Parts: sequence; C-alpha cells; structure tokens
Amino acid sequence: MDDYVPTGILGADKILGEKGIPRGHSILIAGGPGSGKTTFAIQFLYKGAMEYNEPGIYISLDEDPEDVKKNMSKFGWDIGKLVQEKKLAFINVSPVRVASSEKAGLIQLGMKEFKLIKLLEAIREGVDEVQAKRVVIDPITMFTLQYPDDVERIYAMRDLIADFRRNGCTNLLISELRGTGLEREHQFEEYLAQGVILLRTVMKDDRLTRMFQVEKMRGLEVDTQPRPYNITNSGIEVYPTLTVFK
Amino acid sequence: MSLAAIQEVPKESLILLSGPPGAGKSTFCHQVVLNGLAMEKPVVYVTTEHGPAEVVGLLREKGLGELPPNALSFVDAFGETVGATTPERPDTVGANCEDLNSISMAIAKLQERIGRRDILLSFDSLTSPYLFNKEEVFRFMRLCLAKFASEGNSVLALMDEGCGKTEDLGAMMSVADGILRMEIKESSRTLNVVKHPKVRPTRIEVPIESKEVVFKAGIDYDRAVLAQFFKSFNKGKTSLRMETGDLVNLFWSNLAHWSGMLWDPKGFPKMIYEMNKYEGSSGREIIKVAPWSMRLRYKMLTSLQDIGLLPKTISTVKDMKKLWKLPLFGNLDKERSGILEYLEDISKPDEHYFRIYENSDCVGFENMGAPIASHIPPMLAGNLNMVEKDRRDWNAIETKCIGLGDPYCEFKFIPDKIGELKNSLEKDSPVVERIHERLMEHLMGFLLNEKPLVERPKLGSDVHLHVVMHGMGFPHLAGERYTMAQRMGGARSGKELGERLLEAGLSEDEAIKRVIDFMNYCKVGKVTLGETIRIRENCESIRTKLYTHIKEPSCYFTTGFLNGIFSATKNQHVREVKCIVAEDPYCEWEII
Repeated sequence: MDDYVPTGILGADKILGEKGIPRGHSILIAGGPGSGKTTFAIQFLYKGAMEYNEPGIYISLDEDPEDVKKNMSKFGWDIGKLVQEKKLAFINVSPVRVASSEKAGLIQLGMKEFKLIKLLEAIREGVDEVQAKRVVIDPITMFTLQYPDDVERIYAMRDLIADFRRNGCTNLLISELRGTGLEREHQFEEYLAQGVILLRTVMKDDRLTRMFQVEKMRGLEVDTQPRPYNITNSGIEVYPTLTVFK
Repeated sequence: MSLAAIQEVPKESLILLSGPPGAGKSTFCHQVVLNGLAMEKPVVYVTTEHGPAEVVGLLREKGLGELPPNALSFVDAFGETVGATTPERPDTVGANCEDLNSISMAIAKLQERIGRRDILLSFDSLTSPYLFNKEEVFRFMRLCLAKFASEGNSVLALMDEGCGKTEDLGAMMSVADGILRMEIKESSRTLNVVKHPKVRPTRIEVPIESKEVVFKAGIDYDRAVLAQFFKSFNKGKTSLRMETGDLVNLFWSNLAHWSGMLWDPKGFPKMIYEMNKYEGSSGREIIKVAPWSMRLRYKMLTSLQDIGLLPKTISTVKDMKKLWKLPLFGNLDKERSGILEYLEDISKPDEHYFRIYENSDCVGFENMGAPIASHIPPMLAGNLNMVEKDRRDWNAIETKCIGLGDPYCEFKFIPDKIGELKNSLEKDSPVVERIHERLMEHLMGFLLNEKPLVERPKLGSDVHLHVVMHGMGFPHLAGERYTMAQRMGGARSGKELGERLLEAGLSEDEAIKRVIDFMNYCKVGKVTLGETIRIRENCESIRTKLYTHIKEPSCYFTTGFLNGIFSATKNQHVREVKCIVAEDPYCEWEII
C-alpha cells in the first residue's frame, strides 16, 4: 500500500510534493465561511472512492448529510451511487439537529449519547461498514465545543487522533477559521493535527481572493506558499504554480 | 527593417506595446495574432475591452478562417468585468479585470488545456487591470506574464499611454523584454522599436489599413521590370526566368488558388474577381510606363477610335468582332490559359458570349458540380472596360463550365452589374472541399504512383507565370485578407499533404524530398533543400515583383505551403528570410 493518499484535487497533490497526504495522518482543513471546506472534504472522499478505490465516511456534526449530498450534486458527483455501492457512508452525529427517528442508510446518534466514546464508536462502525480508508469530520469545532475545559479538550482531541491512527484511516478534520484576512490566531487543533491546510479568503474592496496554503504537513516536503484556488463547477481547483495577487 | 519582423514575438519574451488610444495597437496586435496562427502557434487572447466574438469578428475581417480546435482560445476578462456572466466554453475561460488572480488562473487553465510550450499570449490590454489594481499589475506582469513567457511562450501586452502615472508605465516597461511604442501624428503612424530581443532600435512607418480592398494603380509598377515582362510576354524574346523559363505547371497555380479558397471561401473569390478585373483594365495605367512600342500601339488604337475606324463602345456584335482580337485585349494564348472564341451567334447588343477551350482554371475539375473559372471572366471584363472609350463597368459570369460537366467554358459579358454574380462567386465550403480533395488525389497519385498531373490536348500542362495563382500577384495591393488566405490556405494544403504522405508510409525525409521534387517538376523555381530551403526564380515572387515596389518577403503561398509540409512531417516551421521581392537574389526560408 502506498504511503501517501492523493487528495484527488486538481493542483493540491502537486503542492503536496506530487504525493498526497501521508497515510494515517489527521489533517486539519481550516477555512472561513464559504471557503469550500466541505467541498474540499467531499471531493477528497469522492475521488478516493472513484479513482483510488478507497472508500470513505463523512461524519456530520453540524449540517444534515442530506443537505450536504444535495449541495454537492452540483459538481456532477454521483454520491448516491457510491453510497449504494457501500463505497461512501454518511453518518449524522449532529448534537443540535438530530431527529429521534432513524433515517434509512444513516447511522444516527442522539444528543445525549454525544460523547467522545460514542463518536469513536460511530466512526468505527462506519469504517467497518464500508471498509473506509478516508474519514472526514465536519466540523471538528462542534466536537471540541463539547469540552469547555481546555485540558479536557486537548486530551479528547488527542484520543480521537490516536484512534484514527490505529485504524489506518487518513482523516480530514474540518474547522472554522477564526479571524479572516492574513492575521489570525493559531488554533490549538493546529498543533495537534499532523498537517494543516488553510483555505483562506481575503476581501479587497468588494472582491474575494481565495488562497490555498499548506501550513504544515508532517513527514512531507511541501510548498508552503499561498496559491490561488477556485471553486469551479467541477469542484475545487488549486493552481500550484501561480502567485496570489492582492 | 520591415513590420513583419516585429510582428513575430520571439519565444521566451514579454513585449510591451504602448501608445495613445487609437494609435493602432490593437490592429498591430491582431496582425501579431494572425501571424502566430499562420505559424501554427496556439494563441491565447486575453481580451479586456471587447468580447471574444467581437475580437473574432475583427480577425475575420483581416482574413481569419476556420481554425483547428485549441488554435485560438480566449480569456474573456470583458464580460464579467462589465457584469455579464460568461458561460464556460472549451475555448473561452472567464476572468475579471478587477481580480488579477482570476486572469492568472484562466491563463493557467488554458495553458494546461493546450498543453504546449510555444503559446502566443496576447494581452489586449493591461489598461483595465491597471486601473483596477494599480501597482499590483507590476507584480502580475512579473509573476504571471513574464513567468509564462519564460516557460517558452511569447507574450505581447498592450498598454494605453496617458492613463495613470508616467512612472507606472516606466515600471511596466522595466519588466518587459521588449518595448514597442506607437505614435500617431496627423495621418501617419509610427512604430518605435525602443528595445527588442531580436531587432535593433528603429522607427517604422505603419501604413493605415483600409477595410476596403484598395488598388493602387500605376505607381507600383516598375518600368524596368515591366519592360522585361513585355519583352518576354509579347515577343517571347527573353525570359523573366533565365534558368527555369516562363512557364509553370498549371497544377501549382490551381493548388495555390484553391488553397486560398479553402481558407476564405466567402471573401477570396470576390478578391480574385475584383483584382483580375482591375488587372484587365489596368492597361491604361500600365501604358504610361510601358515600352515605347506598346505606347505607340495604344495610341494607334485610341486614334482609330477617335476617327471612327474602331468603335468607341462595344455595343453590337459587329463592334465586338472588330475589337476582340486586338492585341491589347485578351492575351489568353500567350498566357496559355485557354483558347478563346467569340460566340457571335448567341451574342446580342450589350450581351456578349465567349467560349474558352482548355481553360487552365477548370481542366482537371471535371464534374465538380460548380463553375470553376475565376480569373478569365473578370480579366476579360476588365479588358472590355479598358478598350471602351467611355469605360462602362463590364462584368462577366460563367454560364457553362468544365466543372459543371460541359466540354468547355462559356461566359456572358454585360456592361453592368450582374445580379447572380455575387452568389456564383461565394463558394460553399463543401464545394471547395470537393475541389481541394480532387487536387489532393491528383497530387497523391503523382507523388506516390507517378501518375501524370493535368494535361491539355493543345496547350499542354503549363501556363505563363503571369497567371500563376490565377493572375494574382498583388498581395500588397490586395491587403491582409488576401495574404492571410494564401498563407493559411497554403499551410492547410501543405499540412494535409504531409500527413497523407506519412500515412502512405513514406519517411519524413522522403515525404519532403518528393514534395520538393514535385515543386521542381512544376517549375515553381529551382528548389533546393539544405540547411535552409532556397528557391531561385520563384514564380510567386517574380509575379509579385511585377506589381510592387514594396521590398519585403512576400511569398505568402509558398511560405504557407512549406510551413504546412514541415509542420506535418518534422514538427518544424519555416520563415521566409530572403525574397526576390525584397531584392535578394533568391527566396530563402530558414527552418525553425
């Protein structure tokens, strides 16, 4: 088995040294609202299942997975088919919106059970069900919010990441980026994750500039310069050789 | 120094063209683009002031024909900037002038689609991006445009002078490898080559192109060359070509003609018609610089008309009978373009019919389902116009043709506009393709199986070089659209021929060798291939030289044809570096 997991995202793999993400690593994808975090994550799963024969699971902690599926159909990805073929699973563990009833094809957890142990169980079940190699948790922020205490939070994150490591899955942890623009505070998840990819948007006057930046990628020589990216009608495209203009 | 040398952007360079609005920057840019396309370079056109369709329209006016996919792509930085959304198409990517990233991404996208490293990028213009982004444009020029150029491509960027700060323009210039500045004073335009990777600093006068086909009469004839021409043409005493003689295989002539038609089936026939008509009637201008014997003969004709021994107007059949055999009218026998006969039985006042046997335009195109003749009808119409004292506007239309299945061609002449003429001139692409296919079949038969080319019972296979390319030789008078058609059409024919020869199993070198042998067989000139391609006594340039004083390489069809052959077989291109028209002793092409 290869030691690296190609993201399948045009241009991003080139930035990741033509290889991809080191297998088994947990990567934080941080971006502002509308920066394409979820698109990036679904594209990662979709391409994994379609092109690299690596099934994946998408764990939703916030949005209804049905909405996510619907939103992603505009990129021309036939997600329903992959779910049917058991190459992709959507797990709803949203602590806020979960309905009590069980939906077909979805593994649901109620709010009360929402604790690390339950999340881990849900992940394991999902991983077993589709033999997942790729996992996305969107957004991880909703999970860490459950732990108001800083120390507890860090331990919970550590355990989660360690568990992923054991089951050999490569994970994307989606996080809101606090503070837009170029100046920002570093978030504690960034220190824990083995890699950090930033999807930043900068407003100048009334137009938006999107920047893709691999801030850190343990175990890999990467290009850490910000590069322009775009959300096109076939997904995210990163331009690995271009410079970002203000 | 000719304008043509500047119109080619060297690879790996970024050329900045600046000038006040209206100085002709875009016109120059279009010329560069057409030149690039003629060299088979993929072109990416960044347009900020017009939509792509408008740019294509402007290029069409200058002779742009049908292109293969990926030959011309657009970054449309106009539509979005003015608030319209541009639907993504294979050849167009939208961008926004306000956002340099969007332009840079669009260029990268097209670059990937095209997948080549010899792209010509024309940026028309930097003015809008500069107005929106100010100094950031310098970084953009360096990190996007100059970087793009450094990857093997060529970039021409336009910038308006007079908007923004002078020092900003200076900063932009410092990024560029070459600087061209256009100036406009009253009615003249000058191009200053301030700095250029290939050309020394100089000033060039830029002619202001008119959209109409313009003929500059008389002034362009060279008395000495013309005297030699008449000597050879009328008396057969000497030759324009001492080594090769004055005859050229009519196949070459027809190949050149139908290549031009292939590129521009709507515009080309009209140009041919108008120019041949002009040439036919140009005797009155030519006579002023003609040898004394010719002038005397012309004087006699007009005197006889004045005293009533010859008709002043050609109205009745009787008039025509007196005039049509005069030496100033119809030189078909000397041209070897056909055997002319006046049809007095079916002619009537102001409606005359002529028949032509063995018409060089049409032999070999039997049953093509369309009339073929293109140079004789307008030529003779021009002759009638010249001979008449009151110079009515004679026109001609082909009524019978070998191409329509008749054994000979017949033409109707009327001293007025002919309604159906326009329709008969504009050729449908399928007809042109059919004719082109016939030519290719003949040529492949000749090249592979030594089947003879077209032969006529009485007149043989040759025509006088004066009618080569159907009497065309006025590229400088005809304008860009004509030269474009000859060059691009030639490139298409050459490329197709090269591909077919390779498909037939010939090696690259063998294919080229056979084509060169074919050109020698056709008496195109004395063609030799070494490090360069050299043609002594090239019929195209000798024909052109009769009618122009412009001294620059002018072998449009030959260049296109050779380019096509070399591109198909060896993935190389040719550039004409020496030309008989430019007073060089021979025409020569470097292979690049």
